[in-house]
Amino acid sequence: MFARKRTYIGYGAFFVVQVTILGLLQLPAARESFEQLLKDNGYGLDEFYGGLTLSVVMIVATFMLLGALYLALVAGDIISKEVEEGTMRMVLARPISRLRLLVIKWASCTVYTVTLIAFLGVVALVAATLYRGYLGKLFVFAPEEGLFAVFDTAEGLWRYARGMLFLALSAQVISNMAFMFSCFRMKPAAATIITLSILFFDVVLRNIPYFESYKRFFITNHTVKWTHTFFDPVAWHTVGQSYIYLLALNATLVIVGMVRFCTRDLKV
Amino acid sequence: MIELEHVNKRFGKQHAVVDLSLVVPEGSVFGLLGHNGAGKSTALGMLLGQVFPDSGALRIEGRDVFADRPGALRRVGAIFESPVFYNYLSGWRNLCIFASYSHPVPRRRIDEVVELVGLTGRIHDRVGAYSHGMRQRLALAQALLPDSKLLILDEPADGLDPEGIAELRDLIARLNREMGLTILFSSHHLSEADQVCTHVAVMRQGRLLHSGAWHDAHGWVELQVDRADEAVAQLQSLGMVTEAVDGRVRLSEGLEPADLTEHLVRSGFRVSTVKPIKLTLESFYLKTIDDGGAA
Repeated sequence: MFARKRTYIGYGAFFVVQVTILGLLQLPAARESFEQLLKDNGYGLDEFYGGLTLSVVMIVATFMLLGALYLALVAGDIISKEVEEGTMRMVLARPISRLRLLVIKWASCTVYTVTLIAFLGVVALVAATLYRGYLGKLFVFAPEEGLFAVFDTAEGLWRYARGMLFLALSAQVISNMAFMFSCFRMKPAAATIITLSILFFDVVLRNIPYFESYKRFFITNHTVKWTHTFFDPVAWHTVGQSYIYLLALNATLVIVGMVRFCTRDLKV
Repeated sequence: MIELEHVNKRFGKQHAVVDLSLVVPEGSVFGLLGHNGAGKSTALGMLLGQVFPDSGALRIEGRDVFADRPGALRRVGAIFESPVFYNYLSGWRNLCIFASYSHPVPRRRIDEVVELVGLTGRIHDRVGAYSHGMRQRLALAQALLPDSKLLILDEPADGLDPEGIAELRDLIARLNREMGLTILFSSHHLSEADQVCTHVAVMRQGRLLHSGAWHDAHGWVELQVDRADEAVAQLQSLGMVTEAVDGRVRLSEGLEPADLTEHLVRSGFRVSTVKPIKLTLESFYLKTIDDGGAA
C-alpha cells in the first residue's frame, strides 16, 4: 500500500484541499461571519482567528470532503483489488496463512488511517499558523453537537492533538467497514461505494427528527464524538461509551471480513 | 509427492471436480490435461489451498494442504496462466515481497534465481514495462525462490509465442533433470506436453479419465482375430495382455506384438491384424476423451 503512488497522490490532494479551504476562509464574507460569531460571544477576532482555530475548521471540512472517501477507497481496495488483479492468487500460493495475511493487510490499513489523520492535523496546523503568522487561542463551535468552547494556546494545542487521536479512532470505522467489504467477493469499487452509502444513509437517517430516539444506534452518532473531547469539561462517560460501541463495531467488522475471506474460494 | 484422495468440488450446481484421486510421484513431470472447464485449474487451486474442497484430502509430501498449509507449501512454487505482479514496483522488489510470504530468503538466493531465469539486466526495471515472456520468467523466479521441490504450473504456455513455448518446455525439462524438481502442470498444449511429460492425467467434466506414467499408455495393439472374445480371454489369463477394449489390447511389459501373433497362431486362431498403435499424446488424449476413460 505504501509503495503505491496513489497513496501519496492522496496526501497531495489533501494538502491542496486544505490550502484551498484556508484560502476560502480568508474571503471577506467568511471572515466577517466568523468575526460576528466571536463578537456575539464577547471574543475578539484576532485573538482566536489564528492557526489553531483555523486548523480545526480545516480538518472538519477536509475530512468531510475527502477523508471518508479516501479511506473507503484505500481500504476497499486492499483485498478485493488484489483478488481482482490476481496478485492475491500469487501471494496465496506461498505458505502464508490467510489469517496472517489479513492481519498484515488490516494493520497496514490501520496505520494508513492513523498516518493520514496525523498528516491532516499537522499540515492544517502548520499551514494555518504560517498563513496567519501565529497559533492564537482555540475556538471550537459545533452547534449540532452543542459545542462552543474556547481555550488558551497551550490548552488548545493539547486539545487539538487529543482531538486528532480520537478522530483517528473514529475514522477506523470507515476503513474497517471498507476492509470488511473488500474481503467479500466483490469489485473494489463496490466495497468503497457500499461503505460510503452506508455511512451516508446513516448520517441522513440520524438527522431525521423522527429517529431522534434511535440516535444511539447510528454509527455516525458515535464517530462524531471526537468533537466532544473539546468540551470543557469532557463528558468522558459519554465519550467512553461511544468509543466502546465503536470498538465493538470495529471488531465485528474485522472479524466478519476475516472469517469470510478465510472461508471463501479464490477465483481460479 | 502429491496425493489427492476422493476430492470433490461443486460451484453451485456445477460439479467441477468429481471424486478425483491422483498421485503425482516425486521427480516426475506430470501433465494434467483436459479441455477448458475440465476441472484442472480447480484441482490445482485446491492443491494450493486457494479453493476449498467439499470433500476429500489433498496432501503434499504427506502434509495436508488445509490442516498444515505452511508445512505443505513450504517448498512449493506456483505459476499461473497470466502471472500478475505489482506493476508499479521493480521485478526485484516484487521478488522480495513474495519471498517475505515464505520463510526468509537470503539476497544471494534472489540473485541466483534471477540469473537462472535470465532477468539479471532488467530486474530493477518496473514490472509494468516487462513483456509477457519476461513476466513468465519473473513468475518462474518467484516460484523457485523458496528452494522449491515442487512446481505447480497452471496453463504456463498460454499467451506465449512458439519460441516462448519451446523455451518453457526446455526449462521444465531442465529443472526436472538438473534440479530434480517435481513438476505438475495443467495444459491443453498437447504437443508440448508430449515432449516433457513422464506422467499424464486426463480430465473431462471434472472426472479423471486416465492417470499414470506416460509410457504406460504405450503398448497398445490393434487386434483382429476370429473368436476374438475367446482369444482375448486366453491372452489375459496367460498374462500376455493387461487390458482389452474394442479390438485393442495392451501388451504386458516386455512383450512385442510378434509374441502375440506367434501365440495366437499356435493356439489355432486366425489372425488378421496385429498392429502396434503408435500413440502421440494428442491421439492418446483424444482417444481417452472419446472412450470416456477406457483407453
